[in-house]
Amino acid sequence: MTERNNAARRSGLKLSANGVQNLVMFGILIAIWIAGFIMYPKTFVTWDSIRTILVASTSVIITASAVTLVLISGNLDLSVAGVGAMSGVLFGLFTIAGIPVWMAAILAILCGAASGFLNGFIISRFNQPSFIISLVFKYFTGGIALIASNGLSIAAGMPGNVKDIAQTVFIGEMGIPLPVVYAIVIALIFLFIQNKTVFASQAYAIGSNIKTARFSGISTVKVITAAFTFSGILAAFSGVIIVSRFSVADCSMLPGLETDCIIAAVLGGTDINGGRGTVLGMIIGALILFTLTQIMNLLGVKIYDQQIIKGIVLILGILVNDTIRNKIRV
Amino acid sequence: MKNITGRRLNSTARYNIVLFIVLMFFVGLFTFANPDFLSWYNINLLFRQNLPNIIIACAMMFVITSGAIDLSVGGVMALSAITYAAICVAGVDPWLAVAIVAFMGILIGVINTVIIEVLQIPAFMATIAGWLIYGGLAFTVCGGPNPISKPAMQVITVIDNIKIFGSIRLAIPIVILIVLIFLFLEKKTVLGKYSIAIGGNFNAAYYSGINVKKMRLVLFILCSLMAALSGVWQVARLSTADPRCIGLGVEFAVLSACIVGGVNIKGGQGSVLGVVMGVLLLAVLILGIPMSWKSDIPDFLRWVKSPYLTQVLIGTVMLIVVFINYLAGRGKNYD
Repeated sequence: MTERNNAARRSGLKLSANGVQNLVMFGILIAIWIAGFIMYPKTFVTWDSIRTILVASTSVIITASAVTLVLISGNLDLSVAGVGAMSGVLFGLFTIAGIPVWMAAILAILCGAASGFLNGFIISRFNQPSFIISLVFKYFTGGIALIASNGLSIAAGMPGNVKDIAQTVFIGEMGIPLPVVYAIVIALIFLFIQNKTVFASQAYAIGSNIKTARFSGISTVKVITAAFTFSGILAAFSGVIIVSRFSVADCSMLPGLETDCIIAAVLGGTDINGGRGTVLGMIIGALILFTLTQIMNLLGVKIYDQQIIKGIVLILGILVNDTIRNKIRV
Repeated sequence: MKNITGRRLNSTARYNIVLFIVLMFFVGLFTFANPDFLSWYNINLLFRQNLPNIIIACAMMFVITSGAIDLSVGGVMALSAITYAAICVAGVDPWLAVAIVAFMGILIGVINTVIIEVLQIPAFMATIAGWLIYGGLAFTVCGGPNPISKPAMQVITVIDNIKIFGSIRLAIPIVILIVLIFLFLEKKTVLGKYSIAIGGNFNAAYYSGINVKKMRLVLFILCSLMAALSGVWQVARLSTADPRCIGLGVEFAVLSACIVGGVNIKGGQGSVLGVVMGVLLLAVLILGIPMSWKSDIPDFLRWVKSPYLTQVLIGTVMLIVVFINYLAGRGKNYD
């Protein structure tokens, strides 16, 4: 995969199909930005507006970094919203119980990791469809979040330094929210993992043909379990960040995160059946989604009408990606 | 060939028998723990609450068996409930409105199939998009998140309130009628055989002359039609059309019931009876467990009565079913 890309790059003749796909989606993103700039020349391309888009997209970018790897390996993870809610609620309860904030965050993320690990292990060891098992874990983690929070929002008794995790740091005049920093760091780490490690190549192999991968000596159990564990960890981290941002732990936070992650990845050219996809494409997809949301918010489009647009954009995005794939042979 | 077919049907039949025994065991257990469990009030409640799940699950069974999936049913339910209420308030006769909404359900099925078959988008993504679009449209038709609740649309609550033979609500005969129709479709028409053939091996089905696109169309129309009628039923039961709660989470509830009912998510296996028993088993557990605990349970077990236990319960039952199927080697031909 990477070798072929390198060969294509060295010959200097053409990009790989992934490259063309990412370039086209990036062009669409730029077009949306230019459209936004024309409509709102004063307000759209300002740091405030950009920061709003970035902050809104952090939970999707953070979680979908790992979910993209899960999708590449030919699996689905429907449990991320539940894992995020569970870890957020547990994080809130831990801090209220007097555990130091950093410790509580690590414990909550470990709970998410455990859920992701079990999820991936059952899927790969017993060769079960990921759709069902991750649905089971969606129910488990969502149920734990409900039972632990008793169906209420938890805010009372949370120490003030909960906000430390998601505070805004100032570099000169420019305030940068820490969640954005986390998102950039995690996206860079996963860009590295996806492009440079054996683990990712093995995930591509498993997603293309799991039987071939197994017979060529790849431990499918290890790779799939690791991918799901990453997604559990990052989903839990998004949950912790949300709680820290709003100082409220709620069992229904991060609604629809699983579909948002899949939509962002698919817009970025990931195949839902596995075997292809890039983290860079996912980031572009997520930015397209949230830039559109920002423009629609400025236009005063209601939140439920935005949902309709999102559905249409999803179908159009898949069509564009399919067209590129069918036209380009590398 | 015949041997394989025969064995597969036997495995489904065996599974259904086990499921029936488990269902009867839990009904017996809960009745033993609390005799009120088998009261007419409770049975009526169970069927009134689960009518949408049962009839959508029957149609969803065909869709999943044919190797596709329909995640848009929740959105369709919300949209049809709101559309029904809106056109009733606009002055259309309520019973005519039911027909209009049913027609809308058929239309949505056609749209879903066009997106999947003509645009060649995987069913999973296409119906997620459909879920977003129809769910959003429900709010748009409603004009905001506030429920519609006007006398004009409440004429239909009569079908929920009718009692026959003194104590049986109309929900039970409706469920039995629709399940019988689906059993007829499964056993006596090509629908059942063809959907299993398509899900078992798409290429084999295609090259043996099955019109795959037409079958997909019929199955998706059935699924959307049942979802649309369920939306109207929810309006009849709740006498209000709330875009926020009607259809919420139905797609996953129906899916889990299908899994419990022995449907292979990869296609090629499933039966109407199994799916109906799957819905009933989950419903009986959800209804029965909080009922069968006396009030003197110790404090640290209080969460057992918590209504939030439902989700964990559904997850546990699904996991058990998956492992039983794994140990029994069911569905191994289709991995």
